Amino acid sequence: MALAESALREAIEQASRAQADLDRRVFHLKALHDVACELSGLTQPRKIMETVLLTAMGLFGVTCGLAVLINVRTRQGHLAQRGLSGPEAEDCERNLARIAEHYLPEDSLPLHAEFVLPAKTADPGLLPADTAVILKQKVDGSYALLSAVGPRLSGEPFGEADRTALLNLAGTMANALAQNLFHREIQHLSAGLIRQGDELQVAQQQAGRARATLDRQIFHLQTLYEFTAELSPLVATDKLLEAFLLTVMGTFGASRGCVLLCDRQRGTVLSAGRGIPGPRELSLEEAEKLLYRGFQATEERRLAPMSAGFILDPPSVFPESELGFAVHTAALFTVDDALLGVVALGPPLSQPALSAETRELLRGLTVNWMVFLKNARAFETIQALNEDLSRTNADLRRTIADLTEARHQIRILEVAKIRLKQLIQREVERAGRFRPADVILMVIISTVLALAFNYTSPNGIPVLPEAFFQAQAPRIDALTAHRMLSRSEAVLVDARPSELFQQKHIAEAVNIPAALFDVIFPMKLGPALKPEQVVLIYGRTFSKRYDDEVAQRLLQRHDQVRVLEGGLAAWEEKGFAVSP
Amino acid sequence: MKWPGWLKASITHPLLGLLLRVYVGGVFIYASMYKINYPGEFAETIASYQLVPYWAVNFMALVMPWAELVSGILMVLGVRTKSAAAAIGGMLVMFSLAILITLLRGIPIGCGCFTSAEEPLGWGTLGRDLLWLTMTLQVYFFPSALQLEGRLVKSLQEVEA
Repeated sequence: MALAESALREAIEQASRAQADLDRRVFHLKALHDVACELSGLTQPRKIMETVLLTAMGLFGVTCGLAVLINVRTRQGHLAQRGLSGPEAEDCERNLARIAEHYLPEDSLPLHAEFVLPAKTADPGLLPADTAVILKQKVDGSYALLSAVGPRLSGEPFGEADRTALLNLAGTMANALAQNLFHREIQHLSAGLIRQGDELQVAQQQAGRARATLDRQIFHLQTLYEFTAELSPLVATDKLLEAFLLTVMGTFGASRGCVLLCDRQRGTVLSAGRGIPGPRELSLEEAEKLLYRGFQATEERRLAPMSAGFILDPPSVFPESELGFAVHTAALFTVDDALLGVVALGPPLSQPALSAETRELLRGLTVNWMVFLKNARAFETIQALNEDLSRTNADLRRTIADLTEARHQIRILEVAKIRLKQLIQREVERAGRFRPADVILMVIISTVLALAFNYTSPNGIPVLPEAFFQAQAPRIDALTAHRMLSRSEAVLVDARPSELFQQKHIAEAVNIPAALFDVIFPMKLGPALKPEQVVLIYGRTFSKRYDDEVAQRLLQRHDQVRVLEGGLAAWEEKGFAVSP
Repeated sequence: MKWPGWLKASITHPLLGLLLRVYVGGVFIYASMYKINYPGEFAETIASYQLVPYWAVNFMALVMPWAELVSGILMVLGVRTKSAAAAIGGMLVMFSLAILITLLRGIPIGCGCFTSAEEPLGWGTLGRDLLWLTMTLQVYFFPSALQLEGRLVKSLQEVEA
């Protein structure tokens, strides 16, 4: 019975302890539930941590506690404490980075709350000295939570249930902080989205305006492009005026308009008009006055070359009576100092006034047109210069031809001069010097003159002796001749000159020199000569064949003619008589 | 042998050269005239010397007077004076040799120097030719005054300058 009672009491005690344990657990859970409910309404991390700390201090009867929420990457965070002295709190606040480095390294953070053991030995003095329990937990990808509580007022150690409750409480705090951080992140993102939405709206508005501006600019550029394309093939100034006026009137919807161009350099005024009765022809002075009034009323008062300026209050400057229509818009333009003008448009059909951009378009068209106008003027100038150049080239070609001819003549003269100089030098060298060539030349000249003169002279003689070409008379030897003479069958004739005859001759010979044959032959021999008698002839020298010469003449009068072979020498050789 | 200065100056004087040039040249011009007009007679004269082959006598009788005339004119005018003097000198040497040979051979002929009807050839004729030859040598070796070619050359040099 006693055993039963003791067993009962023991069972009752066990039941009581179990009941107490259950009650404590229920109390803990209830406190946990309460704090969870309370945390759901908090939005500040510090408030969450302070609330949990207060709950833990009340729940476990501890003297102090702290919680640190730290960004493990930046080492920055929040500290919440209860029951710490002022210096301890300041130390903890100051050592947040070191606390995070020591207790919350990024690579060893648990997803659920864990105790950091042993708390005393591992603490390097960063936390209060009487810290009893330390817990750490990863809150989210960037934040970690360190919780610590001091000793209990009762001095009792933390039991298993207390430790579980602490873990749950720390986990609840971590969840609340995670939700809070997530909520804050959501809020931050939402605010960013709202802000970006506002910015997007502003950007859309700006884009709309930019698009409208771009459309206008595209229209303007398109207009300028088409205008440029239209002007490109035109090179005549009057055509450019017409094209410019039509384009401007079409672009701005004006039914009337005119363009006036004043060329001070050439002293001319060109104009074009549309929709008006007929543009009045202006003189240069009238155009200058009109432009002067226009310049007085322009916005800029003074225009740089290749620029245009609008006239303020055009109707007052150009009255309807002057241009023939009511001017709504007018712009002056200056190509250069010598070329300037004005374009005037009547009221547009659609809009009452031109906007600033439209005016800029008109200015752009005008400036663009001026470029073509300047090019056209330059082209005209180039054409004129080309014509002058062609004429100059023709003159130059003629000059070059003349110069070439002169150069050719100069070259010929130079060659002649060189040759003349060489001739002079040669003659100078030859002068006063004996040259065999001169003697040969004299002989040649003499020969030519002699032959020519002899050919025409009545006293001319054959170049070679006649006997050289005639057949020889019959020959007779000295012995036969002597025999014939001794028989008186022949007569002997000495044909040599008388000087030679007198020097030596054959004793029976009759001297009839060849040169005097016609005179002496009739006197000495002619009448006495019988036809049957033979005439023997002798006498020749190294230089003259007198015997052949006389024989040829005698043969014309007498048949029996013989020439003594060997002459006087052969006669003497035979020993026949000679005289003297 | 050193010549006296006055003698050398006299012999080489340009005026003496001019005188001799005109004289010898004039003699040759004069001598050529008759022979040019009567070449037949001159051919007989050449033949009488018996020194020229019979086939060359007529040709020589035609050409030689013209050679005398041309060289004589050039010498008188002072054109190619040295060449003309050389030609005349050569002809005088030829004439002198012919006369000498003829005299030695004893052929009784006339000189034929100017006309065909002249006195018989003699030593005087040879001396005369040698005297002319001496004059010609003076003209050849020493300058003479009033040479047409010299004046012409001088004028050309002035033109060239």
